[in-house]
Amino acid sequence: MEGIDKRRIWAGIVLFGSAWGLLECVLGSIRMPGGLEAFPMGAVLGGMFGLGIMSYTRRIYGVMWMQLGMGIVAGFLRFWAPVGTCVVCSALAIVAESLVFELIFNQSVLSIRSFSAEGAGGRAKAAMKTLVPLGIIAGYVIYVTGYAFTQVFTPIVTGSGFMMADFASVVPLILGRGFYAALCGAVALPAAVLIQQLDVDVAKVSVRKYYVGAAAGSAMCWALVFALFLPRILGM
Amino acid sequence: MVERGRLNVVLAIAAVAVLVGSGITLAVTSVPQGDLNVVIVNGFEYSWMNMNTTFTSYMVEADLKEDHVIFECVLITDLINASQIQNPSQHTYVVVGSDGYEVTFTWYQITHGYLAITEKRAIFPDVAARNWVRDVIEIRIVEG
Repeated sequence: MEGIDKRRIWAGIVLFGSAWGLLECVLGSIRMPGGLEAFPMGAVLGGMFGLGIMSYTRRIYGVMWMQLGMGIVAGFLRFWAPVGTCVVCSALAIVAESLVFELIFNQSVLSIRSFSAEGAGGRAKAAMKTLVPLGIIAGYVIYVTGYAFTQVFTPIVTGSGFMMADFASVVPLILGRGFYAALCGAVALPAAVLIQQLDVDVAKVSVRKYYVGAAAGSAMCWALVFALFLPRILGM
Repeated sequence: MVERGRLNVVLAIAAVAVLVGSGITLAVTSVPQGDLNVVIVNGFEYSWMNMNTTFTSYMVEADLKEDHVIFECVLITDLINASQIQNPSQHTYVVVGSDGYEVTFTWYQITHGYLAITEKRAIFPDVAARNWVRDVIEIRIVEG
């Protein structure tokens, strides 16, 4: 993005990727109470938080492929929270989700910046007409891709062997649970793109404030993950 | 360049298709595909309620998400051995959940598997928890 120093973009990738990774680690580790045990928390993570954070950063930075970088950072942080047997698969699924985001929103006709400008110009209603259905589709596709990715790679990575019949049995579940992610996307995308109070001109934040804030925020996310999951990491 | 009005129509149609399609799929997969009160193995029905009196139960520790949980379990092999299956070690087994989720296990994996009685869940401490099966209704034999 013209006007934003590349180092600021890198710092933004680390900061927002870390925040996303923290959410994945903490919310992904929550065991739902009885009755809600089958509720797919991943749908909220992908459709609400993942899509929301990626859309928001695309809005304020306007940089293509930045979100893939954030996905890599988030995946790397997720790697350090040993929840579930195949941590590598969960980490790679986050990267896959960010890649799907890039493939959707790098289309010029779906430019988040132009929708944001439209909202700022008093045409929020017109932008909503596009963003709500787009959020439904994006939330759904991002979640379904991430979920399917883990179902394919977990048996391969853990050595139990990929069985096509097992995968076929889980496909209807993946497609059905995507319903929640679609609903989350319908809220997350318009909110991340149009809420004016969230607007920040990244290029105008003072150098000192920007880098101190980014460094402190990123460090806090990593420290929290290590503090929360250290006993698991050390095998205690 | 795609005209905005046309884009909105296309997106709206796609979004409705996604919501309707996924909503119907969710509803269908939410309906239990068998009797939740029993587990069927080779035509034999075992009641969850009587599981710990029919078979010897064990307390098994396993990690479920961030929690270290202790489950009251029976051995899956006990059910298989009671079901008159010829040469049980020569087969693979598909554990089926009430939502249609199925996971195939080798005999070796089955020998390390349990049915958690209260949770009605197949647990395999050595296998990714993602592959555990919730609300087990059947253990199907795949001919070896």
